[in-house]
Amino acid sequence: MSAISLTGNSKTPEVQFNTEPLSMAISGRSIPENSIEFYQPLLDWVDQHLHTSGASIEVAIRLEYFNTSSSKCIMDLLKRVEKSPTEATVLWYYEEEDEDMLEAGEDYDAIIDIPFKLIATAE
Amino acid sequence: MSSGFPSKQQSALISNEEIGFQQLELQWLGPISEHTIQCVIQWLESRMEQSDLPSLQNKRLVRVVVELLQNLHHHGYEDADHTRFTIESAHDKWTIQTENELTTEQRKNLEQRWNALMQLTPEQWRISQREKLASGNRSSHGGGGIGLNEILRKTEGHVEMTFSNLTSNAHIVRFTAQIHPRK
Repeated sequence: MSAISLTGNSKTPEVQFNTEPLSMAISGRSIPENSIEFYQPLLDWVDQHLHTSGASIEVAIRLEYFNTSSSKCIMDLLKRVEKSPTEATVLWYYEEEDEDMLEAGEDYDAIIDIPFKLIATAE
Repeated sequence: MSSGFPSKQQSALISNEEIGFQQLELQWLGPISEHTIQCVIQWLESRMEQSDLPSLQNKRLVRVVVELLQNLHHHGYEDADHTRFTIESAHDKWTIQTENELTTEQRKNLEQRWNALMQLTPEQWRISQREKLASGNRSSHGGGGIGLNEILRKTEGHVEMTFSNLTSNAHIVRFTAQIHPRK
């Protein structure tokens, strides 16, 4: 498994995880019934590819909606990135009027020990 | 010359809000499947394109509907005779109501969690949700018990939970959640 490329749909986000260069991007909406089933391959990818000390990665998250079970899975994903030896930065995008998504980013930032950049975007 | 329409003053007197009129937007009775949820969300997003609600309120409405519908899917499917879901609107206030059956034990558990949340301030709802998120604990459906926090926060506390009895060990729980226009 070298890269993950998933097209987004009405329930699950677009996912682009690449190895050359290392990058992770999740965008769209994440409201699947079974979030664990959707996110498990993404968790496995982190375990398999973020094992190099000295490497760096940007984790870009640009979500419009996510349900509470997805919020748990995103937490699991970020915790695995945090535990890896790869130096990571999270780019958390939110629409400038969307204070809920800003607060969600702030909450992850408070829990996870990875540099966060909270980036407002125009709608 | 009369136009046939009520004067401005009369018009104000018969506004929807003042006579308590709510437009029934959608009603669903029976089992909630994944397909049902998908259809309702697609309908809601299409409906929101015609509404005057600000973007944040639109998103909050969708987020609350998703949480409530997925809750019904997880907890109300087997007892679908008493599963009900409605969305109503009155100007820019939207009301979502759900009903599903539960046992006495489930009712006690839900009441306990609800009463604990009712003791908290909005900022404490956020802190409580963050703590549950950080804990790594999960419910059997993967949510980690933060759905109530989420609904309370997205509605800014405009949620009621009431019960009625079917039998000695069967009850109906009704959630009424409202998305109000921001002041």
